Amino acid sequence: MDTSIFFRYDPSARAEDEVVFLDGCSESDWQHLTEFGERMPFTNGEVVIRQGDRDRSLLIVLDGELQTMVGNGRKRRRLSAVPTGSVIGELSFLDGGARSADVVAETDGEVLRLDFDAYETLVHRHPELAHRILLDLSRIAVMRLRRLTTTVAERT
Amino acid sequence: MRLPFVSAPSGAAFPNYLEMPARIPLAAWRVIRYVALVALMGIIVALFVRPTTALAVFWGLAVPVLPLVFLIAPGSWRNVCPLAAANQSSRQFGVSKEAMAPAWLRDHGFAFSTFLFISLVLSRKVLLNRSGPATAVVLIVLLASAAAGGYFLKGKSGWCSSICPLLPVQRAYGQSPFIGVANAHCRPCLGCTKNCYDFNPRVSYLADMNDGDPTFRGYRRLFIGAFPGLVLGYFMVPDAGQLPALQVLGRTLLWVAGSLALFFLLDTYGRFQNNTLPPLFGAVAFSAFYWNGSVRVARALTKVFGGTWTWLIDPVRAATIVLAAVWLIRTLLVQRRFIDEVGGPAPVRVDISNVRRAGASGSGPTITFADGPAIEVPSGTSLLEAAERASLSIASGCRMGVCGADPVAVLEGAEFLSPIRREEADTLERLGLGGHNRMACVARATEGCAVSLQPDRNAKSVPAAPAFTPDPTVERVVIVGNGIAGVTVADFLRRAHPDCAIDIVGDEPHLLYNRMAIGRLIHGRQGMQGLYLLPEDWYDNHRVTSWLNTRVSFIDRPAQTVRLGTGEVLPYDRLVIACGGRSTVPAIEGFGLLGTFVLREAADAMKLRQHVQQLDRRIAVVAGGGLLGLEAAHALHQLGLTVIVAERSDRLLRRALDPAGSAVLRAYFEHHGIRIVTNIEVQSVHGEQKLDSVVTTDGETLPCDVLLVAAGVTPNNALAVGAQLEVRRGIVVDNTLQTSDPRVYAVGDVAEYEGQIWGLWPVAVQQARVAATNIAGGHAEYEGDIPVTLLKGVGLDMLSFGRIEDQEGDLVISETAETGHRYRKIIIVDGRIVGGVFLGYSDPSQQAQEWRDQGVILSDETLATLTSGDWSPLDGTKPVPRLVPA
Repeated sequence: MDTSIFFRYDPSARAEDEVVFLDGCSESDWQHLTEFGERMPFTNGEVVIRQGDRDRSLLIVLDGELQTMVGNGRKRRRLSAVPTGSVIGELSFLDGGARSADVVAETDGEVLRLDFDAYETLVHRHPELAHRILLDLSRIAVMRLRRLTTTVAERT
Repeated sequence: MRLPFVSAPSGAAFPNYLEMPARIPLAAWRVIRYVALVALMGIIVALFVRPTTALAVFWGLAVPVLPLVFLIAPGSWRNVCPLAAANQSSRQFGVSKEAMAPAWLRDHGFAFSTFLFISLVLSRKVLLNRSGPATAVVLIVLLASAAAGGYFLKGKSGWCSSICPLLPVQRAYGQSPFIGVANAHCRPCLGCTKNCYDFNPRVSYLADMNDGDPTFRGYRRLFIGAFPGLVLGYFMVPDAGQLPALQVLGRTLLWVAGSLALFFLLDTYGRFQNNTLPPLFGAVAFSAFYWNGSVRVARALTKVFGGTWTWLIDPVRAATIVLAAVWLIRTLLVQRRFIDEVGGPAPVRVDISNVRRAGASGSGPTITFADGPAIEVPSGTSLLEAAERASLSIASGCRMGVCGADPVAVLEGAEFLSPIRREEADTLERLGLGGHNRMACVARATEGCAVSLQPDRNAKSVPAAPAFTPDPTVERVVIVGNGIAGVTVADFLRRAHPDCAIDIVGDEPHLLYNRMAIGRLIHGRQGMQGLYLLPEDWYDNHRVTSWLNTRVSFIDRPAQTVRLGTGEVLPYDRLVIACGGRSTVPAIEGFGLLGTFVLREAADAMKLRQHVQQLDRRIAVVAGGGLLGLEAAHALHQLGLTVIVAERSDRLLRRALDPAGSAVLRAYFEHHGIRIVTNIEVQSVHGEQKLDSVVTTDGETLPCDVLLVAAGVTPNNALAVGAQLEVRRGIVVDNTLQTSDPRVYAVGDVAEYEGQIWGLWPVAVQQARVAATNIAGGHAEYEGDIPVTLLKGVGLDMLSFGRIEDQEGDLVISETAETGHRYRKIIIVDGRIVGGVFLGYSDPSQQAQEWRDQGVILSDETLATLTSGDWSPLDGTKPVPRLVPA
């Protein structure tokens, strides 16, 4: 269980294994990304991602707080907090599969949404940026997998 | 969800000390701290001078208050503890060596502090409780050690957060403070300790208990398991004096051992969360302490102040048990929250300031969809475009407000949408929708609005009064063709002529559907769902008799009748031929083999999708680089096929694009992996039983398992030929849409006007309107025009209108984006835009087309701006420079 997020003694320092999406990209890269993405405001309580939906897109939380929820009825429970600056939905974005959890807004806010079709167009217009996005998403997926492996190893 | 009992000052569940309230100013804490230090020194002196009273005050009154403070407001003790003051004095005076704590201290400090704590408790029983000087000496040693720790080691790593004997108790009791008090020592944080209690009090203990290192975790579990036993043993076993010292120690340690055994027994069999047993044991220790301690406190009070204090015992017992219970519940809830926060995958972060900087410019209107998302779009964006950008499922068709595929209800902000024009009003009326309903493709937003993708069926349209008296001699009208042309004729005829009988005969088995979206039938999974363009009761409500899946076999003009394939005969006063066209199949040797397709009707698209699913190689050749061919190529590509487009001419979209635009479009498709070959035709198809390859006119063999021919449309003119009407390629009509027989009209893809057959929906709708008006007794003329061409849904938007090829004397303004993915051009003659091409630009570029339609003469200023390479006047988002309407 990684609790290091609670003990960031030096706020400017970065945890060793922290993955920052598109770290060090230029301002023009971000401009391209915002141009190809859509800015979508959400309101408190709104289900921004719905479990089971086939919506192939990547979301960056520009503002506001959300939470990941799984299960229904009495078995419904929080999975994790999604604060401002989080990148979510990368699994469906990568494999086109159904959304694996609900993401519900806890405050008003806004996401930047990059649709896979828009990404495919971006590939041809800004291949280096697209390459970077894909590489970072792969790193994220790998990091999660490693963590999962560690967790499983700890439990067995 | 906010948990009961748990308050989080900054809104976060686990605030660090910088996010917590200090309660009183930091300087005040400093003063109190030194007052406490002085008070402790006073007690030390008193322990030598007046040991009896001093022992009663120290062990009997001061120490028993501490657990309560640790439980309720642990931060306040961390701030005022005199040992901490001694420890931090070096730092405060800037003389600390600030060395890193050695590894053994970091790893095993807790074991030392546990050992120290248990030793202190035991020594109380054998010595300290009775000896003032001994207690004083212990306090002096502790003070000196704390000060020395702070002198050598950095932050609190030399004492407070490593080996202070009270640390294990503080951490166990202080894990869910009722009153959070921010640390007043560590400014700034030096990062000296793992899972620092002062840094994040609420999560520190949980982090320890869930630590990956079993030894690190184990020390803490060992302490909490032993703790209740130690407390009980302390009170249950008589002090030395009544028993030999060794017996005292032995029996107390037996209590400790029993407690530990119980803890690990429960831990092993209970399957608890990591931090469920520890707070339970903490609560027991706390209650046990005050259950017994209250008696001794009462005794100490009598010793110090005189009088009887036994009345205090029961209230203290009751209050502390309740307190412990509430604390336990809180702590377990905090654990739940903690697991929620860290249990899931850690979210990946992005440095948000980058995005904010980059996206700061976009401040267009926000479109909010009912029961769905909201999206911020550039001003002037249509509701359809907004819904598509938000990936909502919305049907689309002509994108000109004509076909009726995308009605929506505007719930709020209708006044900020572009006004309703004639085509849109007509379409809404055909759909029977009025009130706040709009066609999404032509309603453009300049301010925020709220939209439901379900049109409001209760808001009915109010039909306009006919502008002329209907012709009473027209009693029976037969329309051949149930496409958009035929249905539009029926619609306008009914509006203008309430009484005549209308029969509409169509050979497809479907009600009017969105033929422009049949590409979706190939790559989408929705089937016909959402493709129908009329409410089911439309025919009944408009008193139109429909004959679906019915062929017309013969038109008998002299008798004014139509004979149906089923044998029925329909008499007419006016006949409208709107039976459209069929896919042109050039002379390809062997066409018809399994695997060869055309694309015209819904059935074609569905057959194609069926076939593709049974393939193993999946290569498709699309013959024809026109609008339909490209859309089909994209649809097949979406389905995962390898696609080759073979175009007969030298470029794609020959009728809608100039060579420069065509090159940009070609590059786009090739980038996507769709191969384009020009100046080529498919000559023959090969394969046994099913398609295996095609051979082109230049002799190349292309292996493939799908051949889709999209080589244009051939008008279905056989009926007209049989009826001896004047037919060239299509049925020849004049500008009233009348054929060579004044009782017979032809509209849409079957009609040829001035040698042109456009094969486009807006043209069919315009012609149908004119024909209906003329049949009903009014007069209207069709103005043949080069229509607008739109390409959508292939990832690159295209709009072309009017004249696209340059001529001598034109003012041509054009621009190809550096990256080669965008192209735009307008042609201006005498200050008027006569045509243009926009490739790679979304909605707002339709501004140029609107000005052309309105015949707007551009001001010199605007012309100068445009020729200078500044296209902003056409963006539709910026204020429009002065314009003179023609």
